Amino acid sequence: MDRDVIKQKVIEICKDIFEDDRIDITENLCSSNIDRWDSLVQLNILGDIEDEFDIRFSLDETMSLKSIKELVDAIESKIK
Amino acid sequence: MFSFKELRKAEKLKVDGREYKMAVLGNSATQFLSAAVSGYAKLEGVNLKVYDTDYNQIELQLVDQQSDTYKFDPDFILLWISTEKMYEEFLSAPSIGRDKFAEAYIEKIKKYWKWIGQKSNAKVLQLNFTEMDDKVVGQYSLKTDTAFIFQIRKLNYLLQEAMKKNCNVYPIDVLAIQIDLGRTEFYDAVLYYNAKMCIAKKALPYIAKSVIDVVKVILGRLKKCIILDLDNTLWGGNIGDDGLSHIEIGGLGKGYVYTDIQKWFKQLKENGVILAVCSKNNEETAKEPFLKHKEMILRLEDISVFIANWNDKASNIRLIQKTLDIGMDSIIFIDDSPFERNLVRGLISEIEVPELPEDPAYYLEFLRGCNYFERVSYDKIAVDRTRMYQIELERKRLEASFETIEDYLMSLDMVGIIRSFDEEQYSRIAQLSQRSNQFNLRTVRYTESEIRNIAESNNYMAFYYFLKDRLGDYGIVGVVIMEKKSKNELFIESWFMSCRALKRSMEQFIMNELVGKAKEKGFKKITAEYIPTTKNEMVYNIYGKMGFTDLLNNQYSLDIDTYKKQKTYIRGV
Repeated sequence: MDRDVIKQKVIEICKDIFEDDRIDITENLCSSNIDRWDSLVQLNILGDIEDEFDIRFSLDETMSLKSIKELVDAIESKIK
Repeated sequence: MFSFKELRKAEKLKVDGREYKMAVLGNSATQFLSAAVSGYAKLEGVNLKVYDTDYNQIELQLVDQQSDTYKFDPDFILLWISTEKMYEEFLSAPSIGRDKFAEAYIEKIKKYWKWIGQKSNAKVLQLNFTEMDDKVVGQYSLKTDTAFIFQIRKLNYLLQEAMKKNCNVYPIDVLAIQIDLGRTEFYDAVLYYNAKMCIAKKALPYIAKSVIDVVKVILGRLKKCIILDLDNTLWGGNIGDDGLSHIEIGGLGKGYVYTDIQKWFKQLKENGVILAVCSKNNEETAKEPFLKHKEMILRLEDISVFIANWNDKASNIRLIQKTLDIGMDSIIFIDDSPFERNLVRGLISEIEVPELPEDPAYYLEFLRGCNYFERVSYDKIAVDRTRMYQIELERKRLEASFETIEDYLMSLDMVGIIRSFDEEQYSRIAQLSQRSNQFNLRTVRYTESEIRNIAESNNYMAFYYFLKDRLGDYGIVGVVIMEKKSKNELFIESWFMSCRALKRSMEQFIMNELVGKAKEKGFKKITAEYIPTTKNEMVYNIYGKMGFTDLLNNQYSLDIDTYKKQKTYIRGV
């Protein structure tokens, strides 16, 4: 899968969870620059990504992946 | 089954109707559990507001009258004690007392229930315990009473025993879900270590369904009747083409599939579900197996309404519904033919039509899995509703032979019996309050424990009414609950009647009797209210017709001294 396609899917998932048009979701978005991205939102994002791409994140990944870019990188490495 | 994501999104749906409130308390993180329950409720049309408490606060929340849980004033409290967190308590207890762990723990849970009973009106939805074996003594744990799995299994048994004695507690069998899905699907180690949540997202929708199944029945939404197709549903083959000796039932091979499913329907019937038949056949041919086939489990006397003809099934189902006089939404239609199922679904939106698996071998497992017949009370005396409906059909035939309805009612020689609430009938009274929709003035649903409280309180006058006639008993047909507002005034908090007793002049009999009782006790005035629902239009203005003064906005008042006795064909004893 092309990186841009993965990125687009992740952005869609985040849009769906944040439900806020004012948030500009780009590759640089990370949990530290948006309040809404708390631990529950983190779980929902990871869960939806796991279902979408049919992959599983490890405990380390679950705790450390905190930006769109990191998420896309991790997905890319898993589905290659 | 819905996915967790669908449930999460459904949380935001708007649902009409009265709002109910549920507080969720757990010893581990419950945010996802709460979200799943809340979303599932919305999808089932229940306007439920869920309050998720912080984790591991059960004791603090329940002991303190001023806690957020009690301030929320919940109708339900969901108690979820996860085995994973409990295991930590097990390990921190001195190993010498571990053989008594279950006995000590059940006391703790009983204490929670007691606090809830003292400090709120909430009903307790109690999840039982999932299983986890630490395997430190291997399978020998089954013989080792200091092993954790030994104690968990014992605790589940003790929980059942304790719930049996507390009618404010409703069981949620989460262990059954773990068994069905398997532990590896039910528990997600990453989720647990990351968020202290003990239920995998895959399992949450199943738990949410179990919880909402119970809530729906407490709110009066229960299934009462199954309408059955015959060919390839109750037996293999086609009675019209194959004949009596060639249909598949009993004995060897595939016939046993149908034997087992008939046994299940028979069990349902014995537990109060009404069975009816709707088949495209000649009536005589369709009845033949019930009368002559030695291996049939179901017999004609098990079927309350039997319709076999060549009309379309939707019309026949409407006829059955009218005869039984129950809501369409309380009926399930079972047919092996996708064509018939779609036709019925398309024409009757309220009816439940399960999409049976293609292979009949899976019918029974599938239907059991649907859990259509959730109950929140259990009749110790099995009420044979089928027999009652059959007598009712006899009455209908008799009615047709009279010129006037008055002559018919007179000929029945009806006797009404009045009783104050007694322990033996608490569950039946509660059940009637849950089942009655049409003749129900305020549609308050009572649980067994609420009925008990009313019976034991001095602030209420409450009666139930039996009816019998020369053909047979109707059983308990009506209930009136009156609250003493002052020493002069009674308020009719509830009046509901079974459909079986309508058009018998029973309502007039009841009103005469209750006004008489009120007068006897020195009351001067009876006030009443009608709360309209989509189903109880038949009792709109019933108080007006009986001589109450209409105070507008569905409020009524009666000056007892001016009451004129209503005409009734029922005599008291």
